[in-house]
Amino acid sequence: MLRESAVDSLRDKQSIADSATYAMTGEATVSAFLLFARRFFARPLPRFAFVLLILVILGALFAPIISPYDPIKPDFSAARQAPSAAHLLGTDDIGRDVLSRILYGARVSLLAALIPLSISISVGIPLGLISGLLKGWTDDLIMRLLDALLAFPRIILIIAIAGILGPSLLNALVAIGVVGIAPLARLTRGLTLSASEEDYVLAARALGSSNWRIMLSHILPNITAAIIVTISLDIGGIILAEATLSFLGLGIQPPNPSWGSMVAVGNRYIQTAPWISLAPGTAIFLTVMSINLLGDGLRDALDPYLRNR
Amino acid sequence: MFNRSSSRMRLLAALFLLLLLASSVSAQDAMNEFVVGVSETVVTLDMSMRSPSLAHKQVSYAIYEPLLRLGTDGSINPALATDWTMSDDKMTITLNLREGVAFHDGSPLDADTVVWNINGALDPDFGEGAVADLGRIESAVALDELTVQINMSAPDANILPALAAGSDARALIMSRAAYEAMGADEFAFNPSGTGPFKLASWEPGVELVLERNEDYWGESSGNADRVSFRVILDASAATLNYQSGDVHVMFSILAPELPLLEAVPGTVSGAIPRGVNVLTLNSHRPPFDNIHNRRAIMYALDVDPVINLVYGGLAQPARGITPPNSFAFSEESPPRITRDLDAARAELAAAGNPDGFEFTVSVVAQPFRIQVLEIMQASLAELGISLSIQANERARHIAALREDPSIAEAGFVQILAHRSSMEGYLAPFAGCKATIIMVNYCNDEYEALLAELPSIFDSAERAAHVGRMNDLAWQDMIAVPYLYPEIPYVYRGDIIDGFALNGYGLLDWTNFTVVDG
Amino acid sequence: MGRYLLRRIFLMAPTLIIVTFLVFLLLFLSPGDPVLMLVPVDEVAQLTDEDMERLRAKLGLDRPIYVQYADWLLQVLQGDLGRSIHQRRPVVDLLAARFPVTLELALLSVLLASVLAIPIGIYTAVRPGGIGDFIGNIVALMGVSAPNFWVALILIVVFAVQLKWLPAGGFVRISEDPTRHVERMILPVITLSTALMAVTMRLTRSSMLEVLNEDYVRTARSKGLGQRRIVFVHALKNALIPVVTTVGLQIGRILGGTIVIELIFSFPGMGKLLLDAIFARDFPVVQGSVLLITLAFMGINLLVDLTYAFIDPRIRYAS
Repeated sequence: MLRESAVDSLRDKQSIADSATYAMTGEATVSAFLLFARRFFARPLPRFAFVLLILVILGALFAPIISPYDPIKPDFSAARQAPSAAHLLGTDDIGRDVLSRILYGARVSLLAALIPLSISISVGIPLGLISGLLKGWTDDLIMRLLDALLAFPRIILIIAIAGILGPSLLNALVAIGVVGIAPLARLTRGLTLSASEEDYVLAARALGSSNWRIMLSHILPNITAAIIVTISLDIGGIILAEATLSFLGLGIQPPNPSWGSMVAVGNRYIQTAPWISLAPGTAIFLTVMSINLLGDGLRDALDPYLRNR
Repeated sequence: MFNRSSSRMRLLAALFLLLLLASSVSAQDAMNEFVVGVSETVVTLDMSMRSPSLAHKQVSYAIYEPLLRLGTDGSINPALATDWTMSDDKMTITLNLREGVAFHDGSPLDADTVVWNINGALDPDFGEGAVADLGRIESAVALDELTVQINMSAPDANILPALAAGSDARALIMSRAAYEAMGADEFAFNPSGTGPFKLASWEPGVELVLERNEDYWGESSGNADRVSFRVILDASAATLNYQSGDVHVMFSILAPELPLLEAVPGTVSGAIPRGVNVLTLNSHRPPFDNIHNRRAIMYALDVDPVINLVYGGLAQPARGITPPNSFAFSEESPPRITRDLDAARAELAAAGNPDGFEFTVSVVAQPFRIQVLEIMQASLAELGISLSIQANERARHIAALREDPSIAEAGFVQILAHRSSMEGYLAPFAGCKATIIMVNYCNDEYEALLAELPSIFDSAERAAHVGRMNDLAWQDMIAVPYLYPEIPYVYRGDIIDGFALNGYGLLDWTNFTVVDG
Repeated sequence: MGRYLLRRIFLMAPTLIIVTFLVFLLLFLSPGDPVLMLVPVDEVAQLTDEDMERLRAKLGLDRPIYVQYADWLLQVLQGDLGRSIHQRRPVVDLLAARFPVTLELALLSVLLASVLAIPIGIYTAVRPGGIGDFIGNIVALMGVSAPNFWVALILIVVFAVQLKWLPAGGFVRISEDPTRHVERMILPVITLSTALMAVTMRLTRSSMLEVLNEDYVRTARSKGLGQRRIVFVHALKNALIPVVTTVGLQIGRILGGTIVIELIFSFPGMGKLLLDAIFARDFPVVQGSVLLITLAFMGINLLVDLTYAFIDPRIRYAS
C-alpha cells in the first residue's frame, strides 16, 4: 500500500499530536473547566494576553462611545498632525483621528476572525468527517479536491479569489474562509481516522450503529477539543490575512477603517507622518500576538503532558 | 586544522573577487548617465499597439520622432518633414521629408516608410487597430523618394497637430525595414526609430535603458550617453530613492512629499498640466437623470481641501471641461466650481429630494483618487447626500464605466489633455449610449458643435466654438468638472543640465547634459 | 522508490488541471475585459464595439471558455505558455524574468531564518523554563504575530529613513551590480524571515524536547554521558528531521508569501506579476503563473518527502 506522503502525514500528525493528547472525553464537567481555568491563568503571559484581548473586544464593542472623534469625518485643517493631547495617535492624511479609526477598525478585525471561521468550520468539518468515516472513493474524491486547494500557496489563493470576487470586506472574508476549508477538513479527517480506530467506536459499530450516529455521537464530541485548539491558533493568521487583503485594497471600502487599509494609506507618508501606518500596524501586531498567546495557553492548559515537563 | 584554514582562505578570496567585480562594475559608471524613476512599466514599444502609461510616452518620444513637432507655444515645427503645404481646398497635404535620416537599424527614412506608417495607423487590421487619432486622413501616397502626399476625406483643422503626434504616440515613425524583418512580436521589444536615443537594454518591470544615438540627424548639444528608466512602484520608496541619489528625475510624485524632494540639494521642481478630473454622472438613471441633483453635487463639493491635501496646492478648481493649457480656455466663462451650500439645498429641493440621496462612485483604486473621493464624500455628507466609494481595480472600473453601470451611478476619471487636439479631448464627453456612464453627454447641439469643429480653421473662431461647448456642458452639468490637476516633477539640476520639457509636456531629449560632479 | 516517484508525479497532473481550470473559470466570470485594459481610461468611451470585437477575435477571446481552456492546455502540453495580452511578451519570458527574483527572496529568507532559528531552538530546548527559553518564546511569538508589511515599514523607517544605511526599495539584478543587488535584498529578506524564524524556532524546540524525552536519550543520560554529547551526538539528528521538512515546506509556502514584500520594496517578482495579471484579466499570464507556482510548490513538497526518507532510514516509500 502506498504510504501517505511525509509532508501530509507530518502535517496531520503534528496537529493530531498537538491536539489528540488533550482531547477531552465527552463528559467535560464544571470542575474540569475550573481546573483548566486555574492552569490557564496561572501563568503571566496568557493573563496578559487575555486582558489585552478583552480590551480590544471592549474597544470594538464600545467604539461609538469611547472614540474621541468620528472615525470617518475628516477635519481638513488638522491633516497629518503628529500625536498630541487632542489626537492621542495623531491624524491621518485627511485629518481623521487615528485612535478613533483604530477603535472602529477593531470591529473589522474581529469580524474578520468570525466570518471566515464560520465558513471554514461549517464546510470543512463535515467534509473531513465524511471523508474520514466513509473512506473509499468518497474519501479519494474529497481529498483530491482538497489537495488541489492545498497545492497552492494560501495567501496567493486568497488574493486570487478576493481579486476575482471584487473588492469588498465581505468578499475578502469569504475568500479567506473558503481557502481555510481545506486545511480544516484535512485535520478533521485525520482526527476522525484515528478516532474511528478507538475501542468505543469499534464497539458502537459492532452494536450496529449507523455511520451518522457514530459520527455525531461518538467521533465529533471526541475530536472537538482538538479542533478548537487548532482553530484558536489559526485566528491570528486569519486576522493577518484580512489585514493583508485590506492593505492590497481588496478588502474594506473607504472611508471605513480597517487596520490593514490604514497601514496601506499611511505607507505613503512614512517620512512625513509615520504614525498613520505605525499605529494601526502595532494594533494588528498586539491583537494577533495576544490571540496566539491565548492559543498557546489554551494548549498548555489542556495538555498536562507538555505542562509537567 | 589545515582544512579549516584553507576553506577560510577560499572564502576570503571569493569575497575579494566579489568586491573586485563590484568595483569594476561601478567604474563603468563614469559614463554620462542619469536615472529617471517611473511608477509604471513600459509594456511595448511597437507604436501600433496601445499603451496607456506616461513612462511609455516618455520613452517613445526619445526613440521615435513625428513628421512635425509641436513647440512649447503650440506652434508646428519641422521634424522628419522639413516643410509642408496644404492645398487651397485643404484636401491634400504635401510633406517633404528630411534627407539623410537613418533609423537605428541603419535603414533610411523615405516616403515609402512614412506612407506605410500612416496607412498602417489607419488600418484596423494592422497592429491593434486604428489606435491613432489621425482625424480625417483618408490615405497617404509617396510622390517620390522624399515626398509624401496625404489625402483627406474632409478638411481637418486638427491635421497638422495630429501629424505632430499631439494626441498620442501613434503618429511616430517606425522603421518599416526593421518591423518587417523582425515581425511585430520581436519589434515591440527591439524598436527602431530615428530619435536621439535608442534602446540599449530592457528588463520588463525593472529597468529600461536608452543610449545616445550617435548617428542622430538633428542637433544635439547634450552629452548624456545613457538614460535609465527605473521602475519603482511604491511612492514612498521612490521618494527615498531620490533622496539617496539613486534616482535623478522623478515624475508622478506624491504631492505631500514634494517638500522633502525639493530639500534635496540641487533639486529643481516644476509641474505639468494634466487635463481635468471629472465626476461623471450617469444621466440615464436615477438619481442623476434629474439635472438638479447633478447641480446639487457641483454646489456641494468642496474643492479646496483636495487641492491642498491631495495635490499639495498643484491644482486649480475647474471652470468647465476645457483645461487651462488649452487655446480655448477662458478665465471668465463658465465660473469656477464653487461651494455654495444654500444653492445646493435649493437644487436638492427642486429635484424633490431635499434630504439628499445615495449614489455609488466607481474609481480606480489608487490612493490619491480614493483620498479625493473621501474628501468629496465628507463634503456631500453635510447635505445628506451619501456617496459610496467603489474602489475597483482598473478592469472592474472600466467595466463599471462602460458595460455594467449597475456597479455605480458615477465614476471618477481623469481626462488627459491632448494639447493640440481639442477634438480628441472633447470627444470623451459626448455620446448617447445609455450603457456608458463614462461621461456620455447626449445633447444634439454639443454633438453638432463637435462634428463641426474640425472644419473651423480660424483659431479665434475655434476658441469661441469650444467655449460654446464648454458652456453647454457646464449648463447641463453632465459631468462635474472638478479640478485641473498638475503633475509635479523634480530633477537634480546639479547633475543634469539642459533639462527641458517639449511641447508634449514630455522630456526634451536633445539637450541633456550630465554635469561632472 | 522509482514507482513511488512516478506515481507522485503522475498524481500532480489532475491537481494542476483542477487548479488552473478553477482559476480560469473564476477569472472569466469576473467583470472586466482584457481588451479594455489596453486602452487609457479616458479613451474607453470612444472604443467602438467593432474595435473591441476585432481585438477580441485577434486575441482569441471570442471563443467559448472551454475551447479557450482546452486550447491553452494543448499549447501547454506542447511547451507553449502563450503570449501575455497586456504585456505582449511570451509568458515564458515573463516567468523567466520574475521567478528567479521570488525564488531568491524565498531561499535567502529561509536560509537566514534557519541559520538563526535552529541554534536558538536547540538552546531553548536544552534549558526549558530558563530565561533564554522565555525570551526565545516571546520573540518567536512576536515573529508569527507581526504582519510582514508592518515589519517592512518599521525596517524602512529605521534603516532607510532614519539611519540611511540601506535603500528602501527598487531592484537591481545581480548581473548588473552585485553590491547594489545585495544592499537591496537585505531588508526584504529580513522582513520575510521574521515569521519563518518564529515557526522554525518553535518547531526545533518542541522537536528537540520530544527527542530528549525518548528512551535512548534517557539511557544515554543514565550511562552518565555529558549533556553536550547527548544533545549534539544523539538527539540533534533525530530532532532535525521534522525541522528539515518544515523548512522545505516553507520554501514552497513563501513563494506565495512574497507578494506584499514585492509591492512594498518594488521587486519584480512572481507575486506582483500574478496580481497585475489578475487585475488586467491577462489570462495567459495568470494561468502561466498559477501553473508555475503550483508546480514549484508540489515539486518542493516531493523533494521534501524524498529528503525525509533519505535522512530517516526508518521511512521507505514502497509501492
